[in-house]
Amino acid sequence: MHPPLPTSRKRPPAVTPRLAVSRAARGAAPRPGGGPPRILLVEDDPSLRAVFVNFLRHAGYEVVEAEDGADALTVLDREHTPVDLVVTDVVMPHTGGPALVERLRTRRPGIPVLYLSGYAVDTEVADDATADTAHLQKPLTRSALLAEVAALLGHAGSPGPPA
Amino acid sequence: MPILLTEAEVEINGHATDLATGVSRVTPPAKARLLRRNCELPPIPSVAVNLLGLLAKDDVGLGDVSDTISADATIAAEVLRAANTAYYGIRGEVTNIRHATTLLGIARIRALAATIGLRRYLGQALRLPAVQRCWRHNIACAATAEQIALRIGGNPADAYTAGLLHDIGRMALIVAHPKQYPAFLDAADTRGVELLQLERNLLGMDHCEAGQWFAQQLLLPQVFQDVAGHHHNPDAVGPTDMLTRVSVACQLAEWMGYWVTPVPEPVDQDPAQLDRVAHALPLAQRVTLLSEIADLVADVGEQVRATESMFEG
Repeated sequence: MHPPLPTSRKRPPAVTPRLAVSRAARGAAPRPGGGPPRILLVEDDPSLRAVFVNFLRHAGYEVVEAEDGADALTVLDREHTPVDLVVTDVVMPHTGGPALVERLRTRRPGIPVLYLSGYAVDTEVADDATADTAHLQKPLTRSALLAEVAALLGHAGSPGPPA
Repeated sequence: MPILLTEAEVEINGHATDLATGVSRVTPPAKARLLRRNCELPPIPSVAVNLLGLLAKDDVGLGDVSDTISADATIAAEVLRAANTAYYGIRGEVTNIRHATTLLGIARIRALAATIGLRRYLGQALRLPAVQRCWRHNIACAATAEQIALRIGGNPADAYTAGLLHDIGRMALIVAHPKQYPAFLDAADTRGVELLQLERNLLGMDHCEAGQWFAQQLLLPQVFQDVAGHHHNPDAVGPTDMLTRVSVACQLAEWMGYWVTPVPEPVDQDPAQLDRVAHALPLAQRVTLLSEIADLVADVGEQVRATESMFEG
């Protein structure tokens, strides 16, 4: 019954999207050290940012917000607990998503990234074809967002109970 | 101006303040935004609110209704235009409101004016797909409530009006959050209790709380306040027949595919879900409703199309 996921995954999904949705909807699996996974959400549209934050927090994730790439770097410098996943818009003022990720990965190689873009295939995003990168096209649905987040965090197939 | 204040109140520093006592109503942030936005923007036309207020009175005459509508030339013109559409089946041209009220009846003309008024309240927001879905759900719920009343009793036009107003809280949230709430509805592919919780998380209140509050501010009759505030939990207030039927109509409209969130195709009209929805009605009414469900669905579909065509062009 769920609509097809508008995603351009760079690696095979761990489980079918349908299973990922159902598990994501139950809640976020705890991170290895305990506590919910922390997600850095970077989106310059405050209305959309609030909507996405709402979906992620309701699913049990801890969310740190930033309004663009430059703000995200400031936020991360201020935060002491590392984030487990970056969910970022592609085109933003000051520092865009790909530039942010490039700088982030000098600090945290391999940190998983979910790009949210208003374009079907963004050249900069397509160039970032690492194993821990996925792409969702806006407008997106809550179930698609949660499925991708769960898959990137490696929780989609985990047998553990939700947080 | 501030339609959200009672006659005894003025707005001081963003709070509704009683003129006699000087006491301010404390307004939580989410409601303060609703209040502010709804004072800044064109309100629901007062003629529509006044007509709905007449619902609470027992001795309403044709003159009361036609005079109220005639006080707003734009609304009066739209009522006449709608009354002359094929849907109402009136032979010959209706040229004045008094004539239209006589031909259609007080309840029907009041329902028509409420439809026109609420649509005008949404204004340009109706270009957004999410707002169009909300509007169609409202119309479908109204039509379903009317069709239920036609089959099991009650005034069909008043049932229509109650159904039309059941989601007035969504309308207020759309006006208060014209970008965020439609974006939320576009993305939130969930429904029921979880959708209400997500509304509360995002906006500080769900559309039922917003609806009850808004209906109170508009000084609408208690029956509309109950419908707007409790159509998802009618048992919380000791449901009246009207509240129960609108609650059933809202769920039936969803069952038919008139969702406020995007619907996966094809629409799954699960018979078991239909049984669960109808279970709120007394046994005899439930049997009648279920035995006529196919006709009801067809009638609602025709009524939704007719109402939409009324506003085209």
